[in-house]
Amino acid sequence: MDRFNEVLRFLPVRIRALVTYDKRLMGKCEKFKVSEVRLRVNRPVIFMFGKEEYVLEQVITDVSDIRQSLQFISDYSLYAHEEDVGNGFITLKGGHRAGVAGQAVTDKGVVINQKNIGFINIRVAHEVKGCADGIMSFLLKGGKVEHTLIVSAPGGGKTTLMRDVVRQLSYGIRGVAYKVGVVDERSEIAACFEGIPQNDVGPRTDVIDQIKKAEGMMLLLRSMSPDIIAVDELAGKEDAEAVKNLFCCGCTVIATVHGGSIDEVLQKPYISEVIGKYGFRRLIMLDNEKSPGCVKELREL
Amino acid sequence: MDIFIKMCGAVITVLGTTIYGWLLTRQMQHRINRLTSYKESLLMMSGHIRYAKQSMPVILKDISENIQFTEIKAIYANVLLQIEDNEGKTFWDMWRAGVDESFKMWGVKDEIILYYEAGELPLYMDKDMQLQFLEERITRIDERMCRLKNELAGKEKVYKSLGLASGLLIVLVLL
Repeated sequence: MDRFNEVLRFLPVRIRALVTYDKRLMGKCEKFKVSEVRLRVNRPVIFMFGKEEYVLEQVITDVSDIRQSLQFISDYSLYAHEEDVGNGFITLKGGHRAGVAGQAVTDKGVVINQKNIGFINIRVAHEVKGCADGIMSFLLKGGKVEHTLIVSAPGGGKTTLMRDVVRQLSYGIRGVAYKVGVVDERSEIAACFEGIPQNDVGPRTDVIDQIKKAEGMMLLLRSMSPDIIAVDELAGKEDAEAVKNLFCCGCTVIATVHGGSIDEVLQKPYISEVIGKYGFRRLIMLDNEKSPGCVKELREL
Repeated sequence: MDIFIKMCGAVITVLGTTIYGWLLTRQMQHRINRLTSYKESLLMMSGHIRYAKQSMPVILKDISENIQFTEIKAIYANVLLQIEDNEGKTFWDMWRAGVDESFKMWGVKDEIILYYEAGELPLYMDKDMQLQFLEERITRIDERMCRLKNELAGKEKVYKSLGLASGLLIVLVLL
């Protein structure tokens, strides 16, 4: 319910009032966790409870509602979130995220901003502390953390699992605590708001936020001397090259990658080059069918 | 006894008119100082946007903590409070309320408009637009300050001497 109240403040005042009058919805919010609130121009407001939705038929969002919500989401400072809007999301206080969609503004074919925003999706942050309990021992070999790759299809809970791995390593496991560096390109792991991590990523974790992964990894390595570097969603040559560099620097890498199965990932260009004897030796496949973060396969190379 | 009361009355009258003249000068000086401080605050805002792209609450907090002039400090603190209240007001409404709240005295109508104008910041637009807007306001403040300084130089002596002279005149007429 606290999380729900945090999210309510980003809704337009008119809709906020109507929502709190809807006793059925409020009752539902007390029992279940709201996962998303969707505002679409000229459409009713929709609350998502996991995969189940609750449509507020009588509450139609208009253009001024969207504008007001954007004001709250951006803290009256849309200019400060130009790049975020271009990327399609803004990180909010409390670790929540607002996805925005409108008309893309491009420069030489690259999206730099969006205008006429008409769709907002507020995703409520849900940390699942302890979801990595079952795999922590798999990550260790002789007291040392092995290079680990977490694999799943989108929405499988890779980031949630990695966040908990980072937290546990930072707090210490089996009496040993590690300095962890997080490269958080999309502010999904630590969810920094004004430089402060909104999620618990542990006391020995340094976060570099909204930076290209390859660049962020090298920067953290040079500046913060981490024992472990955690990075989300590896993709492409540049990331693979940066990870290879880290392997040679005595720094452990924990990363995630999109994939339907471990075998599929082993076929991926560039990523397959960093898996094996001198690369990622621990592979964790998540089960998309069950709850997010649920492990399907553990493979040791 | 009678002459003593008359003397007291004369001193009070002369003193009163002299102080009034002096106050008029002080008031003008205060307006210049307030404009200087306001300009300083807009320059700070511009720096925050240009170099760090800080969000408005962070900027307002920083300025309200660092600016010395009480009335200007109060505007920023007031707007920050209103943003935190999250009642759905526009930035323009909050800024105007902040200025009204802070300027309870010594406000000159056309000058107050200068203070109101910062509330028209196009916050939904990009960084360059904010900077351009602030630059224009700063230029207008500079113009206004220049005019006031020239006025002050010309009027300072007039206010002071007229204050004293009118006091003496009243005394002479009444005596």
